[in-house]
Amino acid sequence: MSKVIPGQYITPIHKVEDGEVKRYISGKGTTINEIEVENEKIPIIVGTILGRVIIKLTGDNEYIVSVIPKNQPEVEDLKSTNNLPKENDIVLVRITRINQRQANCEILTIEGSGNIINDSGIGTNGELAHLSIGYGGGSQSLSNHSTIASSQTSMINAMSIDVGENFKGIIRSQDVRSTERDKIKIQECFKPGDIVRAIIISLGDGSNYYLSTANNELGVIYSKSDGGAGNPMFPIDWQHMITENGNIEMRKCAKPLQ
Amino acid sequence: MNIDRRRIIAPEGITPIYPKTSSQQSKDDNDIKKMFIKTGLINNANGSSYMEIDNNIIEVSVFGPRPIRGSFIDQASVSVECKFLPHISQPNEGIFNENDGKKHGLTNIEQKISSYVETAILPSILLKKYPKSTIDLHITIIENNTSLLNLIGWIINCSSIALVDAGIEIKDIITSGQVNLKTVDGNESVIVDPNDNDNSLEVLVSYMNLKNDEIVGLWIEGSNDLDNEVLNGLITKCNEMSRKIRSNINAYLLSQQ
Repeated sequence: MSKVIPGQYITPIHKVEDGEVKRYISGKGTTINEIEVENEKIPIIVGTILGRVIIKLTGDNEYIVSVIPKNQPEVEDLKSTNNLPKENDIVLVRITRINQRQANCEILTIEGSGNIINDSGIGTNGELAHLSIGYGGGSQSLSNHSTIASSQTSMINAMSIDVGENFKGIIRSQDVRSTERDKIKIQECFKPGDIVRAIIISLGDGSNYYLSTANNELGVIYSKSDGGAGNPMFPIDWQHMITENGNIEMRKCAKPLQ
Repeated sequence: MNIDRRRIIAPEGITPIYPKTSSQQSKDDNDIKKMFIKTGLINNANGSSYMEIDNNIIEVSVFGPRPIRGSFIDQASVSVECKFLPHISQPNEGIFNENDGKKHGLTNIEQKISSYVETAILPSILLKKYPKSTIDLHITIIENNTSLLNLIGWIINCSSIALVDAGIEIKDIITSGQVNLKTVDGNESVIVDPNDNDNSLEVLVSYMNLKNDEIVGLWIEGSNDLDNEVLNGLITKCNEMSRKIRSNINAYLLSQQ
C-alpha cells in the first residue's frame, strides 16, 4: 500500500501486463486526468486526496483503484466517491421534529462509509468568525453581496441559518411503511430523539433529503420512553417497544439485527 | 553646578535601545524564499494550513462540505474570503483602498485577492462530488512584508494545502510562481520570488503542475511593452518556481502520513 497525494498518477486505465490487458476503474478518492505523454493524451487515474492506494480485483482482469485517507479504516463501499449521502444509502438519523405529515431528522452516519463530516463547530457562527461574514456562514448567506468576496459558483438563495451543520432529512408519512400507508399516524411511529435506520429515496430539495423506513429492517433502533426522559426501550413487535419497567409505547420498529 | 537632581541621568555615550525589526533575509535573485508549513492547527475547521514565508505569515482554514438550505444545487458552491489582520498594512492600500472608515466587509485589496484565489482554485475542485454543499475558504494574513502579487502567489500555495488537509477531492494541487522583470538602464533582469515591486514588471502564474502544467491563473502588473518571447520566458520562470514549491509541498504532505 503506497501513499499518494492529490494529482499523483496511480495507473493508466488500461495496462498490458503479462500479455493481458488489465482494466482499472477509478473508485473512491480518485479521478481520471488526461495527461499528455509524447503529444498524446492518455487517461490516467490520479489521487484526489491524501492517503493510501488500494487496488482490488473486481472481475476478469478488472481492478478498482481507490484512495483511503489516513486514520480511516478500510470501508466496504469502494465505489462511492465521497461520504455525502446519496440515493439508496442506508443511514442512521436522529428525529428532530414531528408533525402530522412528516418527521424531520438529521443524518448522523452512513452505513458502510462512516460519519459524513465532522461538525466544524463555531467556526463561522461564533465570536471567532470573520467580521464580514454574516451570521450563518460564508457562501451560504448571500443575502448581502457586499459581504461576499467571490460568488462564481454560489447560488443567490443558498442559505444556512441554523447553527447545526448536519444534513437534514424528511420521512413523509406515506414513506414510513409499505402497507396501510393512509392510516399512518406519525406520532405513533417516531418521537423526537429516536435513532432511526432509514434508506435515502432521493436527494430531495435544497434543504432536505427524503428518507423511507418502508422495510422490515428499517425503523426505530434506539428510543427512550416518555419523550426521552425514561429508560431505553426494546422492540416487542413491529410497532411496540417496552422499557424494563413495562411501559409500552408505539414506534415503527426495525427488525433487530441477528 | 546646575545638576538636575530630579532625574536619573544616564551615563554618557550610550545609544537608545530600539526593538529589533524583523529583517528581510537576503536572498539570491534566483532563490525562492524559505518556507515553513504546518497543517491542522485550527481545530474547528475541516482543514487548515499555516505558512511562514520569510517574514510573511498566512493562515487558511477550510469549512466544508457543509449542507446548504434553500433550493437544490447539484454541485458544491465555493466561497473565498481573505482578511488582513487589522493592524497589518495592506500592499498598495494607499492607491486601492478608499479610506471611508468602514469596519465591515472586505477592502478592495482583499476583494481582489479573494476573487483571484477563487478563480485559480475552482478548476481543481471536483465540485460535482459535493451536491447540496458549500465549501468556504477563510484566508487570514497575519504578517505581510511583500508585494501584492507575491503575497497572492503564496496564498494560493497555502490554500491548496488547506484543501488537501480538509480532504476535499481535487484534481491537482495548485501552486504559483511569481517573478519580476527589472529594467535598469536598458538592462533587463529577472528576479524570482521578489520581496517588493520597485517599479518592475510583475508576473504571477498559477499552475496545475501534475496536470500538463495547466495554467489556472495569470496576473501581470506593470506598464512595460512586452513581446511574446519575453513573456514566454517569464511564464517559464514562474513554472520553474511553481514546480519547486510543488515538490516541497509534496514532500511535506507525504511526511504527514
